[in-house]
Amino acid sequence: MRRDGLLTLLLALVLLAIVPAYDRVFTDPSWRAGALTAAAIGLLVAAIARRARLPSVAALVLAGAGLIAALPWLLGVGDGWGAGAGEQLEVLRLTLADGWLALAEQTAPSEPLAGLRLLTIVAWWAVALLSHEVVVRGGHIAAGLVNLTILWAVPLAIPAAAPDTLLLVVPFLLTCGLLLLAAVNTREDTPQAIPLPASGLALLGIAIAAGTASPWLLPAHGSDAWLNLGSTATARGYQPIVDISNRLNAPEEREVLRVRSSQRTYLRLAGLDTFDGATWRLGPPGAQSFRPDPARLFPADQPLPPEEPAASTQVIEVDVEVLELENIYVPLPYQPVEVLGPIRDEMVWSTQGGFLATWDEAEEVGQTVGIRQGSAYRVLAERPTPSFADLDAVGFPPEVVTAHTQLPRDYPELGALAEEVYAAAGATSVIERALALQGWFIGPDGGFTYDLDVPALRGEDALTTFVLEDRVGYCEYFATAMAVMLRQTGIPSRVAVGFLPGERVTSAAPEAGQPLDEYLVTTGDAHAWVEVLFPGYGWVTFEPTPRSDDAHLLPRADDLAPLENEAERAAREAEEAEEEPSEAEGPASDVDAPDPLDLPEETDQGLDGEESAAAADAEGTGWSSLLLVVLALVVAAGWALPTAVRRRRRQVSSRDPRSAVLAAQRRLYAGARRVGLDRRDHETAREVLARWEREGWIDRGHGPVAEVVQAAAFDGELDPLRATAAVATLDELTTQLTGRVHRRAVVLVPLRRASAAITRAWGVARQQWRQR
Amino acid sequence: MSSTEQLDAPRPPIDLPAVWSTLQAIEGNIQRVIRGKDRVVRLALTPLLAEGHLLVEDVPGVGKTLLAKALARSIDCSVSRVQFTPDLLPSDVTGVTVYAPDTGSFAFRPGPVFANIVLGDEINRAGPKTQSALLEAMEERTVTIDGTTHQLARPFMVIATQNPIELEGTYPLPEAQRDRFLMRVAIGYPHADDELEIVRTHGAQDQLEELTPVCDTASVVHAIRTIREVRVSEPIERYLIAVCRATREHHDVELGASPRASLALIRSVRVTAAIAGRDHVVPDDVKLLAPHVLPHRLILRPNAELAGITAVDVITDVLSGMPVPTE
Repeated sequence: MRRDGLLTLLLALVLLAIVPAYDRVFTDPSWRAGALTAAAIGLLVAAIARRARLPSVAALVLAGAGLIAALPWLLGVGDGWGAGAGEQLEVLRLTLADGWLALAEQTAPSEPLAGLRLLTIVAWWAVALLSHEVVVRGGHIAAGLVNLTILWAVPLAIPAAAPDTLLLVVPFLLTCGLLLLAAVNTREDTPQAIPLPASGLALLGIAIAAGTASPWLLPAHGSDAWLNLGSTATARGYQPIVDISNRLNAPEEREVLRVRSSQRTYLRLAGLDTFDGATWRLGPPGAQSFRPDPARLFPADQPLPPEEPAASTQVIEVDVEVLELENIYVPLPYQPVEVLGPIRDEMVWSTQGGFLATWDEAEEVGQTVGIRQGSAYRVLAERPTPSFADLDAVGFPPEVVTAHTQLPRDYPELGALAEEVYAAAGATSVIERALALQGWFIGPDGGFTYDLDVPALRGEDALTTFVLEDRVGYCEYFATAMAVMLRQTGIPSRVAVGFLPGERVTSAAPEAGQPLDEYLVTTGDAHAWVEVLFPGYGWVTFEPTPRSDDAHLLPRADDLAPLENEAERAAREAEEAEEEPSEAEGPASDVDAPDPLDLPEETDQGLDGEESAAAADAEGTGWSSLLLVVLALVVAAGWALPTAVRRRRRQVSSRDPRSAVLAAQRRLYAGARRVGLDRRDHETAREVLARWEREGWIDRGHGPVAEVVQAAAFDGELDPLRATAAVATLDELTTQLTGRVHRRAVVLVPLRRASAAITRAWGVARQQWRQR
Repeated sequence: MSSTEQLDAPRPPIDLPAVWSTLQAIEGNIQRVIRGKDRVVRLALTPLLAEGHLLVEDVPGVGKTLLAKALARSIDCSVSRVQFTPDLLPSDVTGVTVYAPDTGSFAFRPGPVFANIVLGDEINRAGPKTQSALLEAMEERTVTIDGTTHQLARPFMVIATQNPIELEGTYPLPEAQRDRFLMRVAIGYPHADDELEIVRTHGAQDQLEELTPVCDTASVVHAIRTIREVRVSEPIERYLIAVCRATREHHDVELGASPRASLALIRSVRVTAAIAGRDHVVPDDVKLLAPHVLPHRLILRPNAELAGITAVDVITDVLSGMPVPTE
């Protein structure tokens, strides 16, 4: 009996040691209480059942009953069993369904959504109960460790931002060791089915293999699995809307794209055609997992057919350089006509959703990543620029309306509200109605507030709650709400996701060799917006998100495809107003200027007034305000200088294509050295690449890369676009090279190096001996 | 032209495309006659553009003279040919002043050296005095006769052939004079298929007669000027000099490559880069040309020579032990 108690206690310790692993799954630790309580229920009930000499089945039933009884309280959903068992059961069922949905959609780490917590709680409970039965009752310690190790290993598939390997591994191994020791030392007459030391390793192997092969049990891991103790790969969801909030909520804003373009433009990832009640998805309604229609896929190395024919367009050309983004969908100006750059060979263009992506026909998700750091491409696009009159006159064929107004259920309240808005604005045509609804969302009438710090838009009533009660959210909320309201009132619409134009960092200077403006797009520019289909004019963008930072472009009746943001529009309008004679503007601008000088004057008088005469007062005021101005200038310079320097430094480091290519070359050689494929000292870039090709470490056909590398190294003329492509190719080669060398060979590299050094030393010694 | 601080300075544009097309045209023209020897043809072009001279050393009958003639014919320029024999006098090469009875004065009659391309066949058959007369003209690009200095044409290139097999009745070029040649190439026997092609076509008609000039001297001079602009970055300079210096310290070498050899090599690699259409020299250029520019300048130790080691072997050995710059 003492042995049972000890083992149960040790099992509890092992479970505690698994906690750090699951901290990777969730963004905050509120999951812990539920999971640990469930595990405690499993362990305690099983231990009591054994004490009472009840069979295993009874332990299972009792523990199950205990868990179900505690669930509403653990999850904080529903009103508890007392209020009504049927209702509570329904709530749990919905939570479970939410959980399954979240598994497919959320990227890890995820918020501790009730559904995900439910799944975690059940897993912990099951493992605790099973381990107790196997270890304590069955006496198969190692077999019991299999469950625990699986539970521990599954979250390792999630890359952590700062991997805490020590905390993750050491307590777990320590407690497992203790458990094994205790089992060996306290072994009574229970027969061991397999000799322990031999089975231990084998079972641990099975457990880790099973654990790493089953990360589909985690949010948004699709079907791929990998053991990751570090933080290299990024989890991706196939549905593009999922990661908007993650990007927006990223702890620090990172630069994702550098865009060179003649005009501001939204960069679109995809248009989402289906609302499933919780979120917008790619593809037609019904399908759980979207597979694009092969008939509507086109290779991207040819001119792209339009998603929707658009009558009035304007051609724009956009160069995009990816700074930090991995995505199967490529950010593009809408709607693209032609893509240039190396990526076009591996991409497909889908006229269903209007996206450019890598799309493996095979089931393997994430085998190829569309764009990654260093990708560069140029897109020619035709921007729809219809006029209000054009759109006002558009007719809507019934099949278009049916295709793009489907909703999973009726939203009568939202429909009624939309009609109210239309009526208030006197809007009758589709374009008037869309503009009216947009105005209602962004204007004071709706009373909406932009805020990122809100729970995810999940659950049946979340949308109506948002529109009718809370009215606080971010782009996904506004776009979803407006698109649903449009659909409810029979207007064909959808949600598009992508990026805002970003901040203009460099203006075009044709004489300095820079014909295009340059924009930096950051994680904070991730965005969702609404598109309305006007047959003949394509999908037209609407912007229901009331962001205050002027990052977005707001369509208006007089300008449906704007190029300037609100601040610029306001500035221009003010300027235009000023050009016309205006009385109100004059004094207003006068008030601004003296303001900073007024303030010091007052304080100055306060100080001097008591001590000095009125004559000295005026002079003192003059001097001290001058001093204050100088001080302000110094402070401003002190603030601006480091910023400027930092910006310049960043430009130098990342802009200079020459150093980028050389750095990529260095990475290639370093990678090669790591796997024992060193460049020989006497080999040139051309020769070493040719040798690697011959030996099969890299694919054939990399002569041009060597050319670019050598041009970069030896003062040659260097085309920036080719340089960017070369950087990507070099990194690709590094991956190929390091990927193709067998793990075992890599392990043996130091040995081989040592033996080569000895041989060399021996050769030199022998030669010297001979010469003597 | 080389140091790194010039990276940021605006560079003068190099008119490479024009030069490149000139070179391609000449190369293509020669290749119509010389079958299957693309590399040799390319090498033979190098001295023309680097303002040096070419020594073709090979057994009889592999097309030494044909190569020289084809090159000469491809450019619209004057060509002369001197067949060196033991009784050839210096004035037979440089020219003489003769008395003209009708005018009663002395007039200068220029010798064959006054041409853009001078083909010196079997140069090792002439006596040392005649050889040195030609070699002096090669180095100075002027000829002084009876106190008058005559300027030679531009471009000026001597293609000398010599036969390494027959030693009887020859005066081998002294090492010091071989240094005057920018490069030494061997043509080598053709591939079986190429030889078949040669037998078929050369039997039928005179291929050389069909060759027409593809460019004039002015464009060659322009190419020569442009190629001087090809950039040699500092790491390449250092690498090139290291290769030359290493020949001096090599254990099989009595006398290594001189600084003149380094100069010759740097001039030649610029041409190779330009022929490849590049505005900059890469280490591969040095590796390609060193075995042609350096070996004939080396004097091996007698025991190495006895062991059958050739100067080309030495250069190969030096290159395989020399770390190549990568940036």
